[in-house]
Amino acid sequence: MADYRNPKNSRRNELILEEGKLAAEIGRVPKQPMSLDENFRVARSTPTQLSQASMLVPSRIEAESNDRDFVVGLPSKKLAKSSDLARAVVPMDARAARAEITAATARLTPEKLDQLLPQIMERLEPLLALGGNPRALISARRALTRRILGTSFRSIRGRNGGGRS
Amino acid sequence: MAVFSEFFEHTNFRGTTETFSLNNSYRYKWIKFGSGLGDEISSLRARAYSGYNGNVYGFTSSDFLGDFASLNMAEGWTCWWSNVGSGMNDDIESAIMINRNKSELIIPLKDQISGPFIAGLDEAVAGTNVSRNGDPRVYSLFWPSHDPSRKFVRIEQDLRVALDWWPDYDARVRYDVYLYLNSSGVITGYVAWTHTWVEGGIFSGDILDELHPKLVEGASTLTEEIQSQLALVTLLAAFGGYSFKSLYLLPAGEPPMPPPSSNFGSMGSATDDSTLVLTL
Repeated sequence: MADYRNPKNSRRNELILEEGKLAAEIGRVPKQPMSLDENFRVARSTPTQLSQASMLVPSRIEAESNDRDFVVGLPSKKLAKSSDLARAVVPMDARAARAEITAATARLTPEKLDQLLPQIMERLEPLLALGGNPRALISARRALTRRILGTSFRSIRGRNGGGRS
Repeated sequence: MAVFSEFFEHTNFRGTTETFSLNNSYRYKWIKFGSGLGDEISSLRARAYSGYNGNVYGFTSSDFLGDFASLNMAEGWTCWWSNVGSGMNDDIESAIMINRNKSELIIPLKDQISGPFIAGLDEAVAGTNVSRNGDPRVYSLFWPSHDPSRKFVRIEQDLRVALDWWPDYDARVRYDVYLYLNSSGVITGYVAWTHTWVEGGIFSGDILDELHPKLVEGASTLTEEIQSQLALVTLLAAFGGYSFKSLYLLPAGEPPMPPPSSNFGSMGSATDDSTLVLTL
């Protein structure tokens, strides 16, 4: 919990020991056992309790509209462990999936991004998650990137920036 | 689809790659890289399309906090960090991709919140053994572990607690403010969580027991203040003829959108500011 780390932590062990000695002299006992772990802290969190009648409480529809606006992106290693992978790959062998990706990529135009990219990503993500990175897959991914990003990244090595394409 | 992004293990888009796309059905896609590319990323690139602008943020902390490298894409633009530099290299642990509407009202919150918060807190602790230590930090908090389906504006304030005949204690309060748009299109918000921290020591427990209930009590005053500020925004919007369709948060300050291409991205700290966005 580096988030809670205090600038004084570097010498807080010494401070606690000194405090302990002082406290013993005056007969004080700590309310909670003091850990000498540098991440030790005393903290409490309380959610605000609002009555259901409060005007501040969002309705179920309002809360859903406000909160259900995100989706989780699974990195390859997590995707490989998820059941989504099995569902995505089992019906089709890797070679056929790569062929489908290559064919769909060839048809990809800016106008068809909405239609084709979800299909391509659905095939590509589990294949990438399977690892191994066979040459054909790397080639298919590069072709997809060129189509979408529209930039020759070979020419911008060593430069940070942006451009319309 | 509206934002497409790739993260690479090495500079100049080489090495192991992770590819993500965010479609138009969602505002955000979040990624925690874990044992794959976590703390390994050296370059990234992204494109926005299909009617949306977009932003991509890579954070040095796994909870969408810490320092960040961002990309700001107007629709049809590709932006890239071919090398995130020594400050961020092999340090990115999480990322957020964001769909941005073309028509938005953007409100940086730090300046709006800090002044009234400082005045209210100073008044509340006047004559007590608690004092403010520095200025508050105001930042966006995305899907925290204590409330993982929601995002908040966090107000974080360091405190100092003076004890008679004893060294001072450092303490900290964090208020997590939940903002939403109600069904009438009015911005509403309240303090949803109060967190108190006291540094370790012989009196930590006593201080926490005394301080935390008072800070929880102060949350209702803060909620009233937030309500009056939001009412002002709603009033001004009504005068301007605006009606809001949705509300969301951005990390840190307002990202400039290209052109010019020098606005392709930026680096900063996620705790520098919080940006409220209202779509029109």
